Amino acid sequence: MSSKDLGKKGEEIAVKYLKKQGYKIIELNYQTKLGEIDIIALDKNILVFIEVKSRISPRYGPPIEAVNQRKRLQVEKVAKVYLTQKNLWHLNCRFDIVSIILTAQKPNIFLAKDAFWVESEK
Amino acid sequence: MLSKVYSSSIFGIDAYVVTVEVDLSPGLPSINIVGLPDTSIKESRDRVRVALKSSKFELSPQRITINLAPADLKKEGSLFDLPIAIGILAALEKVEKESLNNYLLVGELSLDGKLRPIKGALSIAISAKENNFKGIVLPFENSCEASIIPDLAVIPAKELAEVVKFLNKEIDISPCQADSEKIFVNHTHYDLDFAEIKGQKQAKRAIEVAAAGGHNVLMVGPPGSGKTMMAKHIPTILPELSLEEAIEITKIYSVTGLTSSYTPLISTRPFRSPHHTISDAGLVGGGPFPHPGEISLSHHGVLFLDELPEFARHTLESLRQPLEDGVITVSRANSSSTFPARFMFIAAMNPCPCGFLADPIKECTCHPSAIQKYFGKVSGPLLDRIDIQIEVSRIKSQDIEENTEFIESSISIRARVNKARQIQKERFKRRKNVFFNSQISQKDMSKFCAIDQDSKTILNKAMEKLGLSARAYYKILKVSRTIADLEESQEIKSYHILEAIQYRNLDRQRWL
Repeated sequence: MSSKDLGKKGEEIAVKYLKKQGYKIIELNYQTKLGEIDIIALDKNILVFIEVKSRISPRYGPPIEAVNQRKRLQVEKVAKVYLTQKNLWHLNCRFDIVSIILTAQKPNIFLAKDAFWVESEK
Repeated sequence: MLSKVYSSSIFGIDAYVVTVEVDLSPGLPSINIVGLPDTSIKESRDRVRVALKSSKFELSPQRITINLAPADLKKEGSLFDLPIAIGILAALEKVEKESLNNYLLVGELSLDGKLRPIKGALSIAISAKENNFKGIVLPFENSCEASIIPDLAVIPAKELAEVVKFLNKEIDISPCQADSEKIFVNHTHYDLDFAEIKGQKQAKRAIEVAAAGGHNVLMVGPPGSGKTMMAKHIPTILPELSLEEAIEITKIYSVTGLTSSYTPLISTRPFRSPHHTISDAGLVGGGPFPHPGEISLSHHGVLFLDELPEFARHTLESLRQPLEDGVITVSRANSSSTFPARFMFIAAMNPCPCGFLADPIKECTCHPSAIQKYFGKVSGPLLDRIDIQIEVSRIKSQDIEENTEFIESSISIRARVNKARQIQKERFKRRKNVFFNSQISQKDMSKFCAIDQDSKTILNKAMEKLGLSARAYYKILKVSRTIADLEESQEIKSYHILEAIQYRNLDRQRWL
């Protein structure tokens, strides 16, 4: 399966999983000029920005580690745009990462809540 | 939600109160520390977050802003970990805000939530007392040092969770109480004794005179003649420290991180012997956040510079002012700190590059111009500050076998030094900033160092015959005054002058 399809499949699985965890999905694939965020959801009263990473095999390491410095900065930037656009700065926010490994039978899903905070200016 | 926690930071060797303000707001989760923190304080972010987790406090994602007031002073150190963590908990209403007004909090945090020792605990305790705090909460290892300050509740803590319970009045931690007098007396003990030094009677005598009058010394001699050994023994014949002096020294050492729970109070005179490759900042103090240098670490003690010609000229130059004033002021762009630096300056060198110029047995292999160049390195204003020059020669074999029982001990020498110091105290009671004979100004010469006609004749003859300078003249008078004091003689007699002239060896030989 192509990487685009893999990504799409992973997101579908992620959405289903998060709904089961009680998240309320608000946006999917929120796109801006600076980049995009896979899922924006509400977990009780916290606004959560979620990055989904899918892999076919665990060979190249846990998907969570694919969310590197550059990716994190991008997610932060897009999140700020979202908050400003929707005027939601009064909400508490959080960054989650969902990692999915599509093994033979059941997909391996791991949800990292509060995976990272914004790196302050040095 | 805003909370305030009081803490402290070090500037120079004193501490000042820092207010740690914490605000929690919605928005993207982050921790931001403002108020000119240095790198180690910026890293508090991560230590505090994990320490809170380890101590089973939940920190939900939110925008945390921490301000260290006053915001225009640069701050350094890892001691803000504890107040920041408590500030966050107070903002989350997990800690009662009331107790925060009574205590100053300091401490570094480990990732497991335990408290780690900090520097400058004594100065911080002094600052807490001066600012009317009821007490301070600090790491266990620093509590003994801080408890030297009376009327301050010094609360020793081992971990973050414990501090929280204490501030919430759920548990009680009894304050650490130290008997400063007792610690002082117990630790006033030197391992060395002058009785261990065999032979070298003249050198020992010269050192006794130097100790009595606060005179600086230059020892010239071949390698292995015992110059370093004698220098190390000097603190043992200096008068005992007073408690105030001990506290002053401890403050300096505490800020430099050289005190420990074993030595909460430094009660012996310091002996510092920096290597000749030391930098200017290392010697006199400085660095981006001004720290005390070797001269301050020798405060009320001895600074020994071995191999004097090997020191860089500009490094020695920086000693001039402190030798004159007894303090060193380090200035930065928007602040300056003054460190105390009143020490006895002892220098040692070889008589020539190979070391054996005046040696009766070994032959000197140096070219005369090399010898001149060698001495040339140390001529100048620094030598002006040296009142006593001793030639330390190789120890004779019969001296090595000398029976220790018959050699005078430090205690006995110190008794004489003490008496001479007492005389000086009385003499200078109306003079500000003059404590020793070595500090007598030219104006006061005729008042304190009057000599009779005989002595004048001898002195003038010596000046002529040996080609001594006017500078040397005054030095001889000052040293004679000390020699007379050691004998408890009010007048300076001619044989006092004769002895003092002996200590101008190097002038005599035109080496300097």
